[in-house]
Amino acid sequence: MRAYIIKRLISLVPVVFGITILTFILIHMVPVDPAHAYMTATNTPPTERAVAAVRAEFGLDRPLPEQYFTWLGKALRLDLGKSYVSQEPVLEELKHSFPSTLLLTLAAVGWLILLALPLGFLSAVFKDSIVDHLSRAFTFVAASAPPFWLGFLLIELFALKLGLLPVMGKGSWQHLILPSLTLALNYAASYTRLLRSGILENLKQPFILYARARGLKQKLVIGKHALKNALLPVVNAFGMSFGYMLAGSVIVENIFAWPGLGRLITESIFNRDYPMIQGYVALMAVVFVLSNLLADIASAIIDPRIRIGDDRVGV
Amino acid sequence: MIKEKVMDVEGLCVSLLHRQREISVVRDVSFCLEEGKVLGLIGESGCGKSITCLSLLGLLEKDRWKVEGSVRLKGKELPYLNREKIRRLRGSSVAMVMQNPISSFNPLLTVGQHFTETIRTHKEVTRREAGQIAVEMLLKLNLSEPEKVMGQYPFQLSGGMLQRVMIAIALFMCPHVLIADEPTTSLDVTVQYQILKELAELRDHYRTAMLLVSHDLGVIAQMADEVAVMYGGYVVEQAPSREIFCNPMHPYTRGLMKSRPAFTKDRLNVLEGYPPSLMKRSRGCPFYERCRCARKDCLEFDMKETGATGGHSVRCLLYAGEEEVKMDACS
Amino acid sequence: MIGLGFDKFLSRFVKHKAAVLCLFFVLAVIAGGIFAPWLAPNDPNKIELKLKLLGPGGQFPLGTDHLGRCILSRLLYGTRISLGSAFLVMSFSLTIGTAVGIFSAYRGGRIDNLLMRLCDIFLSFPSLVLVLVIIGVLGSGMVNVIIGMILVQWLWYVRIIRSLVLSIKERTFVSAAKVAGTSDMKIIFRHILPNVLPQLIVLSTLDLGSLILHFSGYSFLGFGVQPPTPEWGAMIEEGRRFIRSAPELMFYPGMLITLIVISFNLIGDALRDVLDESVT
Repeated sequence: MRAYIIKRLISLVPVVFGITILTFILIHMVPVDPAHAYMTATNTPPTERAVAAVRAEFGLDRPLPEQYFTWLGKALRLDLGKSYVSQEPVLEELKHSFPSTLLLTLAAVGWLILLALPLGFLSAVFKDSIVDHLSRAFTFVAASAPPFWLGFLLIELFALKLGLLPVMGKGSWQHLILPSLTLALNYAASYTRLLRSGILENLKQPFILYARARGLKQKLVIGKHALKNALLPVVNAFGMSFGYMLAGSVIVENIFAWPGLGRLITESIFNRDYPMIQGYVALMAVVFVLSNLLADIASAIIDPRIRIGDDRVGV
Repeated sequence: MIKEKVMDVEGLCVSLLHRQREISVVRDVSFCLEEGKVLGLIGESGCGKSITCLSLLGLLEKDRWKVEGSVRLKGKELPYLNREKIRRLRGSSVAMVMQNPISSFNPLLTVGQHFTETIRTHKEVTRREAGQIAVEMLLKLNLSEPEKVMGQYPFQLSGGMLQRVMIAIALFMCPHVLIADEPTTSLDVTVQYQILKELAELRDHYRTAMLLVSHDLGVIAQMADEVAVMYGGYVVEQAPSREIFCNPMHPYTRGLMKSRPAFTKDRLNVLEGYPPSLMKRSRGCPFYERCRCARKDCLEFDMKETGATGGHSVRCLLYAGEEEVKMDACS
Repeated sequence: MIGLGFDKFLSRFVKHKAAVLCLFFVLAVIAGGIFAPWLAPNDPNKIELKLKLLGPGGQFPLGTDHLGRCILSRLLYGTRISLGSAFLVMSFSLTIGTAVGIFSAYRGGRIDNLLMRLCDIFLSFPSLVLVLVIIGVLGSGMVNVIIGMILVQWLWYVRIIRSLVLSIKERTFVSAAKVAGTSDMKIIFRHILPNVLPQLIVLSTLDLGSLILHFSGYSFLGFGVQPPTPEWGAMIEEGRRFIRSAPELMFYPGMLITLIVISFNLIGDALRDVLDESVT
């Protein structure tokens, strides 16, 4: 197990470097150089002397690799620099916004489980029944509609027409329901499909036939044998999806005026607040690595072949 | 000792429902299994052996398969239409050993979990008691360190060990009938031999009636008291083991015997051609195209039994009526 | 398609009735975009505050928006950008991806290795973040969004096409052509490209749907087209402030996007089925 985790880390960690290096190169390659962006953001007139001063201050006159390693060295000590706009440390800004985005994403994960698990399961067990047709119609629409539009439909229905939930903003737990559902719908659709096809595929396996030949109850055959095996790819894919959902919150936060990372990054993009963008990317990369690692550990817990490794015992 | 009929199969017909068509897979199969005896079912792949086994257990999905005929267990008709009743019989009265032990176990569950879940399905015992029963059974199958095996996952065990576990799981309820579908095909020859030996001992010990399916004449010769030869969904010949090996009648059976490698330097006779495809089966004898003694009227043959003397039955026009056939003429 | 004449392909595709319906819908919408100047009842950008938020009827078949602009006309013109951008991203990334993918698979070696490492890193990471970074650096605007999307998308095709080519490369007809001394270029264009083409068509149809979704998402965030240019995602964004008084402002463009994406998905699924049938 430990060797497996180390192996996974070795393949995941380069993502952090790859992504941050790419961001770094992009920022320094474009026509608008960081110094000018800084001047614009802070409303100082870009005189030649001022630009030179800024360049020297941020080390922008140094060669690119050196700049990257300086940034990396500081980042490892949790110093991500200061925002051009607010002059606050980037880390503080991220710390401030991240929890609410994480909350939103976790609630969306809750919806995902609540929707995809029963829907995928039922539509596989009752294949070609009404339940199956309805759930497939749901997955088709939920996978094809723009999430921001779905969000507004939900607001229209639950907040405005029925008056059950608040329209937007952050506050009570009721505020969380619609944004997280909006964030979850797209993924709920694909996970319903994944689970359904996984169960159907597993039901064809010889071990299911053997389970039935041993007289096991249908409940046990499907609920234990088919489901457990079908969850494996779901758990695997989930490590990837978590990062996607966290990123996808950009749109959802925009719709529901949810104060989180998404709004922070949208503003930073408009202001070309490069340290913020760089910090955001680094944070996403770390979250990405962690969530994938967690998914890997979860699948190792489910699957003994990963956990124990392939050390076959002879006859 | 009086032979007791344990399972009596009569006129079993199975067809696959495919695009509004019915494709016959098993046709008019009848046999009976006796206490402590082994019926060997032999034939090439695709001849309907496995489907016969699955239909006996009521394991064929009702919306894809049509099963007709009568199967009596200890004189009582098996309740195929009652899902719950037939489920209770599976694994307790009629047990099965599957073809491929490695893919038959769920890779995510331990051997012990497989065993105890089966025991607790059929017996009201605690998890712990189930564990004890399982360990005892594994010991009977000569598995060393049964406690350790119980905690292991299928991929940690060899095919032979898994097959032993499977046999142990099949026998803990002392079933009346054990159906073994190619139990040794996927195993090494040495392991094959051990498993067969153990199966034979257990049959003697539990007096279980056994249906042993194989395409391997050696296995059948070693184990079976009675042999049924299947071809194209029909049992084309059935006789006591000794009789069928000494005096095969159906041209297909004779072909099978000839294609068996022996310790001689003679050239191996191979049955030429392939079994007919399921889709193409039509009227007449299914062996017609490969048969060396085929005649025109074979195509009109209704595949009824044509000769049955001394427990030796055969379905072939060669043995229809009084017509004397020279055995060697067509071999 | 592989060993499948056009007639046969058509007769099989026609069996998927829903997909045929979708195809007609997509073609109709495309035609609507192309012939917008003739079809649109009004100037899409003409602001007439006196006529704001009118219901459907008369001069404005779907009513007017908050600035008194004709919604139908804006939808028709919006097609050009919403679909056009998706096609643009698709064709660019597909062309680059195909070229690089074939080259990478055909040559192998160090470049191939490097590309695959790149794919491993960037394809697992949320594409939304990457595009946002690119927009953040290049600045917002439609062209930059399209560039960002292409930069992220092309690597997908490299990976897929590379694996397709690798499986074909080993087949006997390619080896035969090689032995016969056919030039690499000829092998690629005569033997390899025609064989990966069917899969590419399926793939790009399915991806078009998601590209449309993504592009409208960036427009919604305000990074894409700038007002007053009509675009579906941007129209939803403009309509959001009137969700209480005039929810239909958002409803029409959202519905249109959903239907178009469903259509592309269904068509892609049908094409895949037809293709699978012809292979097995």
